[in-house]
Amino acid sequence: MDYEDAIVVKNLYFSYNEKLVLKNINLQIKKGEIVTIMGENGAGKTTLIKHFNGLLKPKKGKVIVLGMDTSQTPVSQLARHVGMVFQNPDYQLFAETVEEEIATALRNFGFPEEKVKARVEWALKVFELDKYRKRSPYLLSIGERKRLSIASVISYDPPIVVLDEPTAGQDFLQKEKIAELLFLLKQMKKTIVMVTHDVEFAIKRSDRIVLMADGEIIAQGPTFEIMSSIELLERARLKPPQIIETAYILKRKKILPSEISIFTPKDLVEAIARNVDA
Amino acid sequence: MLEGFLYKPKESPLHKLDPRSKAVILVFYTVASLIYLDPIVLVLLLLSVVLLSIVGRCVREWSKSVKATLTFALVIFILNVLASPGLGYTYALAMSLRFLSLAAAFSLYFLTTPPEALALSLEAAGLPRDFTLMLTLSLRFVPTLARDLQIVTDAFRSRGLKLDSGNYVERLYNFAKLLTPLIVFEIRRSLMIAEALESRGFGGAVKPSLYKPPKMSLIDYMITAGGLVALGVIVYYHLGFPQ
Repeated sequence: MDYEDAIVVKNLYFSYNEKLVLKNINLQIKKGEIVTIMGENGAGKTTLIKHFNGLLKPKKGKVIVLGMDTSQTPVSQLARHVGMVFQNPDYQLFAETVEEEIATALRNFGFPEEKVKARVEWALKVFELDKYRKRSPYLLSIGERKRLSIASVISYDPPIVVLDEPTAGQDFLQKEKIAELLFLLKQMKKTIVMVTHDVEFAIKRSDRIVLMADGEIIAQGPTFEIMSSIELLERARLKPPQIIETAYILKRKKILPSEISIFTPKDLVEAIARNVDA
Repeated sequence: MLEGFLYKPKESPLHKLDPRSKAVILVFYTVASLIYLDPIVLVLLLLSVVLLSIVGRCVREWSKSVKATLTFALVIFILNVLASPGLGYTYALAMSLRFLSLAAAFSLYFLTTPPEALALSLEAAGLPRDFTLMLTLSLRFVPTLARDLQIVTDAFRSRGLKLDSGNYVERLYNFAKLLTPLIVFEIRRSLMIAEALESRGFGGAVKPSLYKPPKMSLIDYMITAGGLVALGVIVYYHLGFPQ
């Protein structure tokens, strides 16, 4: 195995009650990468990421995380290396206060008490939760609860962070905060795997996209390459990002030449300006 | 274990029966299991439920629930032997057989009766709608609750909570932690459902009509009559005529 790889999935098959939900999955995620897994509901995305910390074990094939075979390693050991943030924060919050909630995982992993305190303080500050530290997690707003659920995972410093639908049900401001957080995690050299339907979020924040449909990976590659293929996105039942769709329409109407690549609003404005001048 | 008490759609004579006629038979089994203390009678009752489960084509699902209740039956046996040593092993055996035959009969009833049909016939029999809705909702949410528990368990294991190692006290303590989010989540869900029901007119002044009023067939009437007679006979022989 390559030393650079955080997660390697080889010929993975998985079934629930004899129904095949993952078919021949092959995937390599490098350390420090932000990879986004996309696809329609029921494509197998969440099933796939549950293999990364051993919650699910392969029926066939292998999942290797930082050199550990997940079928041989207990969840409690894998969880120390792979932080998993679930879609709905309400399923995981339970402590009486916000600070206790963050300390839970740290204590589960046996951090010394002074380290627990320091890490809790750090997380409360970074996630802007310090003014709620003594409050019950259930009294926070949905955006705050989401931040708390992420904080309670990031606090124990796992090298790999897996986020299931981080932007679901979040307003624009909260999305921006989550985006900032991803940037921070990237600076911290974390490997990030995201599952999302939010194409606008994915196009800005991922290094690489993995498209799934019917339990299979139908395409994977650099974000731009995948996002510019309207055909591929349709197969995964995703609506292309607005900027890509606009460029596509302009090219089809021969307003813009078909060979130029447009990825950001800036690209689009420049391309239009050039063509208007010409 | 709960799986053995949930409706499985199938084609069988038991599935076709009206929930009310089946309920009469269920009452017969319940009363019979409660008034007889003879292990032989209780074994016969249990065997007849086995036969019925073959007729209902759900032996596999049914045996799952019976297997799960065996542990409880064993606990009941041990507790009875310890708590009332004067009554002997036969009494303890009867107590656990009684529990088994009750569980077996109820499991078979719920395996072959769709909750909606049960609620409809209860409503047709004059029970208030709030009550029948409570019944269908509680049955309907068993699989949802099981799924929620799985999600909560996954979320906690992902944060390093050990549920599969350590001694029993530790494990029990760790399992108790799952209850807080689960209860909070279910309360929130029930509030959401209540609001959704109200916004669709539930509890309005008009008594709603039934889309498909349940109908008893000739066989249903015969079974109901037979069940009532059998019930009368065992109660008569057990208690005697009221003077």
